[in-house]
Amino acid sequence: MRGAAARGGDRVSKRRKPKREADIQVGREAVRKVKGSGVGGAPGLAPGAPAPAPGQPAGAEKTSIWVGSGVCGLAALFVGLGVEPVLRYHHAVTPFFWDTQSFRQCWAAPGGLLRYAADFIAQLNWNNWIGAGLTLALLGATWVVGRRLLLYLIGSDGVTPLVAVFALTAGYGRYAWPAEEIALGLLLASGAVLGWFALPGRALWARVVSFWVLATAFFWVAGPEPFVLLVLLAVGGEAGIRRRFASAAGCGLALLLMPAWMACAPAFDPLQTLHRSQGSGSLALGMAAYLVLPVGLMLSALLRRGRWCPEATGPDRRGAVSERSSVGRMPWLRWSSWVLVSGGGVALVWASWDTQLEMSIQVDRFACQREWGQALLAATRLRQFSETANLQITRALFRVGRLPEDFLKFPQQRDRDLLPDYRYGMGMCRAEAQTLLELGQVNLAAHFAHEALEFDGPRPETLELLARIYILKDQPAAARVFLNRLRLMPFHRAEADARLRALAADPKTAEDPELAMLRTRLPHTDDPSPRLPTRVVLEQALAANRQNRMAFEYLMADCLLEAQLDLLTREIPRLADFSYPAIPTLYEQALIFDQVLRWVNRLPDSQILARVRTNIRQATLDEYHRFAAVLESYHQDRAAARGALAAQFGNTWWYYVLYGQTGGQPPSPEDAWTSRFSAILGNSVRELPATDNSNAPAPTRAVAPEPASAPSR
Amino acid sequence: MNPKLTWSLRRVWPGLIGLLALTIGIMLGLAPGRSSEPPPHARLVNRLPMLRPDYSDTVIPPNIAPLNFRVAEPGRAFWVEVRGERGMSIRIGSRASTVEIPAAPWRALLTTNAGSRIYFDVFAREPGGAWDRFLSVTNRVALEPIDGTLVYRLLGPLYNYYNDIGIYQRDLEGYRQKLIVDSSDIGHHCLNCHTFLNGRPDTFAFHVRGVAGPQPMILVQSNQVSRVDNTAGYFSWHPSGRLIAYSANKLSFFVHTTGEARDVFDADSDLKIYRVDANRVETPPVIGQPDWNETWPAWGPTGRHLYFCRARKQTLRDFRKVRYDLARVSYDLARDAWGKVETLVAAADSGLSASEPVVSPDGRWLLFCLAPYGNFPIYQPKADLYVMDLRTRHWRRLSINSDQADTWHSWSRNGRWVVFSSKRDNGLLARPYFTYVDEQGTFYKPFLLPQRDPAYYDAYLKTFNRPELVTGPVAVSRAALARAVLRPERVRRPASSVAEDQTPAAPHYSTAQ
Repeated sequence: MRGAAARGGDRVSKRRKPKREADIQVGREAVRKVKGSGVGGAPGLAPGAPAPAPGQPAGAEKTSIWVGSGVCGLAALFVGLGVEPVLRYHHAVTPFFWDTQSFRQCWAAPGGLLRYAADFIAQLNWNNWIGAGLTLALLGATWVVGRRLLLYLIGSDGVTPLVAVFALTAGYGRYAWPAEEIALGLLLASGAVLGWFALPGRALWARVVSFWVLATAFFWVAGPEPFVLLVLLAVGGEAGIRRRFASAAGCGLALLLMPAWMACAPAFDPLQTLHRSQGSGSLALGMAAYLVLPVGLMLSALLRRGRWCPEATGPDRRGAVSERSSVGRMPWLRWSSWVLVSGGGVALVWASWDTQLEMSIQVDRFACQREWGQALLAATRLRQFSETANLQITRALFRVGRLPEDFLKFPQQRDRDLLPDYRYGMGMCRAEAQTLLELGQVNLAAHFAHEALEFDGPRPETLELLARIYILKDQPAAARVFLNRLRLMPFHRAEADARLRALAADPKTAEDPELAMLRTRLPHTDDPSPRLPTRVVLEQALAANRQNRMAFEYLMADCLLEAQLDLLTREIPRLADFSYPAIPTLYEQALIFDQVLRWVNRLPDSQILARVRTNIRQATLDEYHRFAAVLESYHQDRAAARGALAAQFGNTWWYYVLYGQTGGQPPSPEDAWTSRFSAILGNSVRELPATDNSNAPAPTRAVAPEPASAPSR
Repeated sequence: MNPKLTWSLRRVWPGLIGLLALTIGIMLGLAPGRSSEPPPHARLVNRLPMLRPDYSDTVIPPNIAPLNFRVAEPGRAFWVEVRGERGMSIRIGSRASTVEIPAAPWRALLTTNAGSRIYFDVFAREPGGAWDRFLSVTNRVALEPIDGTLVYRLLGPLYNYYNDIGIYQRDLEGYRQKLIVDSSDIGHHCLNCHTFLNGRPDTFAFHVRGVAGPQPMILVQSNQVSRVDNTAGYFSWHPSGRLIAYSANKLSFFVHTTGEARDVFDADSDLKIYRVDANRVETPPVIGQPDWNETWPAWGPTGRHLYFCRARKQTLRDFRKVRYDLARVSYDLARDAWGKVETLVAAADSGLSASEPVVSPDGRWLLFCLAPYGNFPIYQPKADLYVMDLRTRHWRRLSINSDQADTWHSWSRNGRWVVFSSKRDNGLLARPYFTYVDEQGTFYKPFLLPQRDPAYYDAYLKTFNRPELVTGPVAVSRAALARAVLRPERVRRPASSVAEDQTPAAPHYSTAQ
């Protein structure tokens, strides 16, 4: 029975042997005959599948693997240690929730499923090492699949997969670039078209119809950009490599799905993923990442045109020349292309890395985590200051007790508002909400926190902030909604559960010392307005609680920014409420300036100054004398004196008043706070020239555009 | 077949089957099961169980989706019997506190018990293994069904800016929610104030803001979509379908530093009439007086009266003094003749400000909101629902109000059900509640729109705005509505029979709730 079955099986297997078996065997034989006994590395063949191209030499194969692995590994290290996935997570990774509602929504539009998967894996950026591992996996998979595709089609991988890896790596350095989504799209498109190429079946109609089915499903799953990539790869493979022009044309017709869909959904964006990258450079990088494979495929096809073993071809490979590719015989060409591409890739990655944005995100992240020293350290490396960075730096300075001393050591200018409004962009809303909450202005904090929720999406910091706001407003049920939402996010469940337990135990969470302190700062009076000026916000906070030190220091900082001497001197007696060991330096500078102005304009002495003048340090007075002397040495020519004054006095309030902006360098982390004073004020107060501050030159320092987060879906 | 492949499959398939069996076993283990017998020797707990949402002591329609709930009691396992005075009961046992009632038996139970009562018998197992039985939860099933579809707008708790707004429809006999149109379909512009003609799903209008030029109204008539380039605020269809009364408002948003943060001030508003058949806008002087602000138009069911709210103009500084009267004016469609304005609820008498009048389909009851001031009640925790008997003009505050804003009400076609938006759950996010109204005008305890997952609302960050009961699903496609905004084929530019209104272009903000 067994023998009969076996014989029957043999007969069956022979009957079932595909027509192309002979071709495949010949092809394999031809491959073995190739010098160097090439290992094609092509995927396993299904019976009847078109034969892959002959492989590349074994030596070249190993080198390619080493180079590719090395590049992917180094890229992952760069992302892990340089770019830092936690910064990408903080800045732009789309919030992801474990609930069926979110999952259902991903089916509602083309590309939703891919984006859902990308958002899910992007959560791994919550930790630097895990994020680096994710990067390695994505880059490695993209390289492997891209390489497989090229080996299958043209027998050599070349440098194209490496270019794709470099393009993706460069995108990571843009921070708001949807790297996971683009990488997954590349991966899926390459894998799908490779699988389609390997399908059995030779009839034209079968291949075209199967491709249309694949492309339609792919369009819905992966979205427009990977869909176009899929079609381009299929067309390139069919026409450029396999010379099946009819099949290529049939596959190309699948592109009509896009305009058809756009006719149905007028607001559909065919570049929906690329448009989430901010900036033209990021957009170009995204397009390059998508196009590198099809362009590389076509270039490779042009370079290797006709250089194919004809015995491995079938009847549809007419016209192919019988010579083996000569590339394998020119290792120097391969090496030099790798070196060139690697060099160019490294340069691209380095040039794309937005280090200023990195520092800006660091400042925000450390401030959110209450690591004030780290925030200030990161701020010292900033050269462009966004509104978010400004807000967090001011908060951090206050928290470390250096706001009245070091406020002008970070760049400031006349039109800057301590609590800015929307014209500076929506990206600063969360930072402003945090500031307002700590000032005690809970309703104003709610305003900006909700704007952040609407624009940045339900990010963990925003949800936590809103929960605290509504606890303070005695709306624990509303706070619970935000905490319940937070617990649906990966890696935040424990934190949310802890807060929910605390809330359940005490709806006012009176045990929380910070909330208890903030309750003492809540305003008692209603001041309704579309937008309250900063000074009014701060004065109201002080009116609610005289001991609100933050409101006091912010108010004084605002007076310094606005050069509101009258208001500043009026608030000086409040220093007694806060037990300052001495008058802060910047306030001293303003008081001295006030005294000089009065003297020059023959105004009576300020009573307040009369009370505090003995407390002004001699060092500050001496500094003023030196400032006046330098100015006088330029014969009161402000423009000419600017450079010299900036070098020595750029961080003083006198320079700021004169020029409308600071001129010094930000502080280094080693600056130490000194608290000793000389208490003698000399009589020889040097006269200041009668300057009209309204003629101060317009600030020229470019304010970095607000790095808004990726828009919510 | 490839021998290697065969060999691989032979090795792998037992493992695959085992894995599949394990998965099924786990799912069955976790899924709530149906247990045939109640737990034995249960100890009676002499109180009602806490259910979330609170589906106790309410009146429900016979065609509502299953009222899934969570048993908010401590326990290691739970057993619930849903029974009526007639018919088969439904028994559910579960280790989780979530009770999901199967749809078909539920429908059969409600149908059989229409006009009588149903009961939830809840058992909870203590850690020691003993069972507790709570007092039976009782609900009444009304004879009258509710309209099959609820349409509402979903949006975040917005301030000045919006990003994602959508108008959705929900099948009330199940849980299916479907998007009608989303702001992303129309270039991220704002969607506003949908209004249906007599509860018909094929005829409605909504407003779009943020586009260049006049802020259009999208008109759907018998599922044909057109765009009307005419800025409008709140709409109301005349029951004939030939007119739409609308308000043109000048709204500004501001923030309080204490209490409820958001507020809106209406500096200037008038009522206008858009004649759909003639494509003409009219401003009858009786509803557009220069020293008054008229807003919130609502036609009565016969079309013989237009109900609205009006107040003397004030400045922003005196926003707390703004109190609207509730008024109506008679109208004869055949003669196109307006009567005199009649004040129904004077602000001077009530001390409160009226808004959102809606008359029941039988013309007897007028439901409206009263709030301390202004005409944006959803932002005021003290905003409550009131009802007036139009036969006697007697009006009263409803006992179903909460200590948070209760607003945005809509009647069912049979006049027995009202849906409204309430912030009673958390004071911030509005949820849709239904209440039964009997012929004597008694409003029964409201119940929350049921969801498949009873914990749905616990973590849901959007607010349900302007719920409207509609007799069937909206059939017009998203694509058609989007095209009407972005690439309209039918655009009406109405002629104005009086001077053009000076309503400014829509601000960047949404006064969404």
